Amino acid sequence: MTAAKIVASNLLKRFGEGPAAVTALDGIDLAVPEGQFACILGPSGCGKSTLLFIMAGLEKATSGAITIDGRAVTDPGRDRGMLFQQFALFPWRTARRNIEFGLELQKLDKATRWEKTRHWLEIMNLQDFADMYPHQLSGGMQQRIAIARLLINDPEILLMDEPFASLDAQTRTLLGEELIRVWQQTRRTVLFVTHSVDEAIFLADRLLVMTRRPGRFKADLRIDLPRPRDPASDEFNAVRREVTHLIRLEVAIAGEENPGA
Amino acid sequence: MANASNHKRRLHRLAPVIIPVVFIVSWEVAARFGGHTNVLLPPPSRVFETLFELIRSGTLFDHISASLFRVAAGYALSVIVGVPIGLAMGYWILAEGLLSTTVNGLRPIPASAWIPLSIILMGIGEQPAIFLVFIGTVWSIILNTSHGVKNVPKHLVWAAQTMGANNAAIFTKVIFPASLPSTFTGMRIAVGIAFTCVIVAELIAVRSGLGYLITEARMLVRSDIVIAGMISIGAVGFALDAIVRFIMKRTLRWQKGLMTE
Repeated sequence: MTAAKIVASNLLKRFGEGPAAVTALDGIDLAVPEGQFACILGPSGCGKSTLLFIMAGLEKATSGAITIDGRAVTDPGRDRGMLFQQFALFPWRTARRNIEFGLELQKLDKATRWEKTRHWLEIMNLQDFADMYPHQLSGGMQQRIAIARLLINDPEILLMDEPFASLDAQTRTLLGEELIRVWQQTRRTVLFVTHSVDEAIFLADRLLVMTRRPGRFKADLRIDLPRPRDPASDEFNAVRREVTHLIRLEVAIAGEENPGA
Repeated sequence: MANASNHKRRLHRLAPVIIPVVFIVSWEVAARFGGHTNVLLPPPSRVFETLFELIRSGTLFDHISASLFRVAAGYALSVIVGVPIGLAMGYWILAEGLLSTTVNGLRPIPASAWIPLSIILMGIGEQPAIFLVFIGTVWSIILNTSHGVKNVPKHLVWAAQTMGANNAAIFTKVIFPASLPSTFTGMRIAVGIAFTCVIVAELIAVRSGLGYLITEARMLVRSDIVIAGMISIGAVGFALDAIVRFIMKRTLRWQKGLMTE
């Protein structure tokens, strides 16, 4: 294994001050090698999104640090692209103009932008919807636009914050398959946050299970199932059982710690 | 059965004109047979005759263009001054701090209360009328613009940041377009206020325009001209609002649901 792409060391995040302060992340240590597809799995409110936001530079850690290729993260940047649960498309831009947003920021000329955008519209199967506005399209289509808008920028690291959580099961599976297909071609480093066990097993090389607040890593598993993966296979089921068992233990412990909750 | 529902449908189609027709007919009858009152309150037939005469002679057109010129000048001034102030107040906390006392202190003073001071300072003429339109409309433009800026969805800004946008790009490519619907709402409200203000100004502070037409006619006890003028004022106000709605619809096609009212 080469040197890790992303390193988090002793990361602590507190919201608020004094007795009302909430500890979202408590002593997170993590090293993600280049090209790995890592899923962070955890219950709602465990701080998994906060971790992603700190990596993106959108949120500051209370203490500890994150480094990318050895350089400390201080601000957001084009090297770390992010996909959001709410899609975060610009409603005043058509599908095409959303996708070319990053290229505009790079001040590329119109012809180059057009060509690259056309390429990504094709990959994401959006050719026929290029000139439609987000509100005219389904949730699945919208997230496809967001994926194209992210990948056209070719970021070294892809941070994905429950990107498929608001979609129906079928669309979710489909987009997961497409994401893996594109990822296998580019082999970028991916951190994918989800609370769905199946989604995590389907996508990830590595599964990080997080505890309830304050968030810590409880388990760090490798998933070596061959791709493409079949959620109905015995091997998939075996992994699913193992992970589900781990999470159940975690819920039980959290219940003992907070009997009132 | 079919017959009954046909009757019902016909009644529904006629419903909007019933009250106006009954009103105009009774007014005509009352004015013709009411003795001395028909000088003070002429029948509608006289009013329409006068209206056509005002149109034919070009008098009405001159007054309408005088009023519209003042609306346009005051309104343009209001947009030129109000939008940048609103953007600044929404974006910079310091600008908000510096300007909020002034804006919130002056805003409750009705435009009509500015008339005496503006006549003292500017005399009778175009200036006080244009100033009145400006002072009547600028607040709604400032407040709606700054409201729009403050309510730009956070995730749109985040998305832009993770695609490499600097502060200038975030402002011009995200915050400004995202705040436009709110700005336009302010501008639409302002058109109605502007027209009200110009009529009020013309009643007192200037010697032309639709407002002047009806006060002058009052002094001559020409109720027919007063009422014909009122009808013209209503028609021009309606047309102004229709134009603004049309422009908004064209510019904000992406904004779902905004145009339904």
